[in-house]
Amino acid sequence: MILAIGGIKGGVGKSTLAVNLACMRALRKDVLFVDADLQASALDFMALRATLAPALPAPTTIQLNGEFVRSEILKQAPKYDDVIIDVGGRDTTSQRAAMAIADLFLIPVMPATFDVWATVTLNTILSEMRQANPKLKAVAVLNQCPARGQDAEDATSALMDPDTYETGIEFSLMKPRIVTRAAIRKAQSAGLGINEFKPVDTKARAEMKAVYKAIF
Amino acid sequence: MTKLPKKPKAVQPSEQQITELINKGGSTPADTPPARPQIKQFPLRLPPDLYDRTQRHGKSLVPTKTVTTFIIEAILEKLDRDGG
Repeated sequence: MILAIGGIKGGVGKSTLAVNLACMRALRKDVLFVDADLQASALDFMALRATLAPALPAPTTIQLNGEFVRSEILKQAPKYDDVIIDVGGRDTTSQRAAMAIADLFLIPVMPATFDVWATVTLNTILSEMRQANPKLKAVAVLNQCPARGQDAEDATSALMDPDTYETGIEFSLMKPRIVTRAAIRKAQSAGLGINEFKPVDTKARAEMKAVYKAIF
Repeated sequence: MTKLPKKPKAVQPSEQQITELINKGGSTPADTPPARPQIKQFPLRLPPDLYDRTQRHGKSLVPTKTVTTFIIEAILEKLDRDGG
């Protein structure tokens, strides 16, 4: 499967989600991880992992940019079980190139007004890129949700309200959601996925696992 | 009964169509080569002792200056003085 994790809003936890899913997937599959975000946070994470946790399975990691994201992954994908692409939070050629080849486009959305608004533009881009890739599926996941409160429910209603979009809704919303938890940040600093981090944060692990299961 | 038309098959977009759709995305910084200043180069002939003196002086300054920087500054000062 080619999974791309993207969106047009920065700071929503795309790279964190991408590296967590990639590390979990690498436990049982041969994974190619592509950092197509020039910030290269995921690439830095993988380098950190290789240094601090060399014994743990890790995906093969490369960095690609622009149209090359499509052409190079088309060449490399048959050599791997799965490809996971992390793209930056803007409407870039890299992101569109990823959409042109992905089986699934995962959209992390924070339950906040600006984040929901950003999906309106993304919805249009998805609609456009389906001309290039008719098999493209897209699913949103609520990320960095507050542990308490009504925000996630409010965001769900706004995200899935047809009146929010000028055209039809081009993505679905998965039921699992990720809550902001310190353990995720701590795991990241140690080059680990939340599933590998100790002390175990049961809730954080369960949430990440549920997102993983909804995808793979 | 009139034959019902078959459901049209999805048309596979051409490479050119895919490329055009991809290129509608904004460029990433690496797509744009950094603007390079236009530099005019020409061979400057200097007596060796003048070159050495300039180089020594440049090295003695804090911060140090290369011969090239020193010569450019000297040219600018002269132009200012002469109103050039």
